Amino acid sequence: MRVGVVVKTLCLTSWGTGRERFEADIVTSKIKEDVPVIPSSSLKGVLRTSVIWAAKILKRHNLITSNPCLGVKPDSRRSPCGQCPICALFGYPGGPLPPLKVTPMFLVNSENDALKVFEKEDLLRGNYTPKAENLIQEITFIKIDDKTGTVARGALFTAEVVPPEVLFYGEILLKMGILKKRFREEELAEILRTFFAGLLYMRYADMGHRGAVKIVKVFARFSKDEKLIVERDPLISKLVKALGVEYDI
Amino acid sequence: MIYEYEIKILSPTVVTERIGKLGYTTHRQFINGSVVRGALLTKIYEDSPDKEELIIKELDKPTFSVSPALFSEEKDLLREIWPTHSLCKVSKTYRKLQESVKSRPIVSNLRYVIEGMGGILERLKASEEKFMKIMVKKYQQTGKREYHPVEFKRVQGAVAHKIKDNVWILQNAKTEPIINIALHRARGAVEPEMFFYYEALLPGQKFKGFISQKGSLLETLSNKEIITIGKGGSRGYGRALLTLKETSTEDILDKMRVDKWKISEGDILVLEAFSSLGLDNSAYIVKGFDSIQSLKLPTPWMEEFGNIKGALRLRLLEPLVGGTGYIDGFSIRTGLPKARIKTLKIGSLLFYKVEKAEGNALEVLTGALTYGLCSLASIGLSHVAPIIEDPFPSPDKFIREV
Repeated sequence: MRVGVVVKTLCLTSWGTGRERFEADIVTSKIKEDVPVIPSSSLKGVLRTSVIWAAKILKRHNLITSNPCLGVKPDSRRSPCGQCPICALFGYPGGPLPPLKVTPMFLVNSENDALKVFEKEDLLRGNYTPKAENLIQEITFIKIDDKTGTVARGALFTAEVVPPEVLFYGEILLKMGILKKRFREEELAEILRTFFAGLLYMRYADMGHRGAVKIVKVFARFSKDEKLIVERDPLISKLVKALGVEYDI
Repeated sequence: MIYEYEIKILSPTVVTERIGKLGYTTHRQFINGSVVRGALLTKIYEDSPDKEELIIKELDKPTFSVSPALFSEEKDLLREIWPTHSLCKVSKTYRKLQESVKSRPIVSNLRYVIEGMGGILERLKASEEKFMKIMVKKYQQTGKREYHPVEFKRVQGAVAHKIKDNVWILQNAKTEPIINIALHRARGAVEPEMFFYYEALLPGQKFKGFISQKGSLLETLSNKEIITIGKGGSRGYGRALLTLKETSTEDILDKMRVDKWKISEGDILVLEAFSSLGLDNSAYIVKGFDSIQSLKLPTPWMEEFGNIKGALRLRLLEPLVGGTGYIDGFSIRTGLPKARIKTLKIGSLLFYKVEKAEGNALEVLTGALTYGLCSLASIGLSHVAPIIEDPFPSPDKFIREV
């Protein structure tokens, strides 16, 4: 199953690289000069967080049977359960090959452009080269000292940011063959419910540094078997409909 | 069946070389054969999970051999790309050898060793003296410090590219640091201790190597496949385009320009470790190199790949020129550390005396390069390449060209 997601930035946003340069203290992720990109790890992180929240809601309404686990935390001895839909989708240390893969999110000019990329599988094959001119802006900001209410000493920052209304497109791949081999039909349905609910929940998720990003379009390509699974389960069908997924076989 | 494969990196790729205090560092010059093999098996499993049993069988009884993928750009493997051997030296100074690119040229003493007199040790000594003499003379003539022998250092196992006749340069793939953090799900702020540093290969770069198979597992793959290599595949790292191109013994010999060379008894044959060289015993744990003291080619492993019309019996002339190292591994499938393998490092040289040569000896030597010497070739070890003529320039050629 291949899902294409188009997102739009709603405010000044950046995806930190942990590096700095002479002109800016916070550098946004780029593939070339002036061509911003949302790192794939960022997309996967947001998706995972959304799936966790969605799984909690589904569990509260008894729509899934297994308890969602929250993964590893460095300060606790808890390790991933390996049983819940989240572990099944995203994998866990020492576990089998996870079925989910993501691509980075690249700049697109319009939703139609994204659809073309989705149809031609350009992103997967590495044939897509985004173009942009002077898109990245630099802003300077300060930090106010809580005690004095004035600027804190040395707290003057310059950051690279992506302006609002910019579209990015990325893809999520779900290898159904791996899931089918590992799980029974009922379990598979629960995993897909969690996945699509998580995708829907991503509408409320933040993405990037102090940023807000909205999902504007979702494309999906299902095989015949996958379409059957989607149509057989009323909840999955509803979720897919709510996402506004444009079906394609 | 022999394939030449090319890997074109599509997203940042982390092929772990070592994990240090700072984080993960990546290989800059080649991608290990074991990594490529893992990527291939993963691809086969992802596409058809029903083949899981076949893949597990492959792990126990390997049917294909994968050589490391050397950093290639647009260059031709073997003809223009070769791993530097232990008698290579690289200039410490960057010189403008290509337009707008400064690089470090390579010089080799191997020709003096092959053409020298006496035992290997004596020849090595004499070749080093000759190198010093030529370089000091050139330094005195020109007054340029870059020709002084101290301005050269040993370089073994690095990837060299040929830019013109007798000019080879050291080439490294470009990398960039990637810093990852984990966010606290409730606070949305960074979790303490969850800070990860990776060095990653930049997209767009190409690597080339050989794959040989005796079974049919690879036939499920098409000529062009998107594979995931190295760390963080599900996070989108390591996406690469794999291109498989069928090749033959004749093509390989043509690339090495040795198709008319004849091997006869009593000759000295130089073999270079094209990948780290470790010979297995029955328990798959390497204990040393006793078994390569006397080498019978083709080995039983090589014979499994097909009918090789020729045979060689070789006796190792001491000493081995190179260095030894260890390869440690960790199985993601079983979660257990793998057996530590003692190896001769890439680029080590083995000087053999030919005791017996029958049939097409060149085909045998090509087999040693593409199939490897033993089953460790399935994880990218034990490939050796014959050096009939040193690809790198000797000091006299070097000072003429550079």
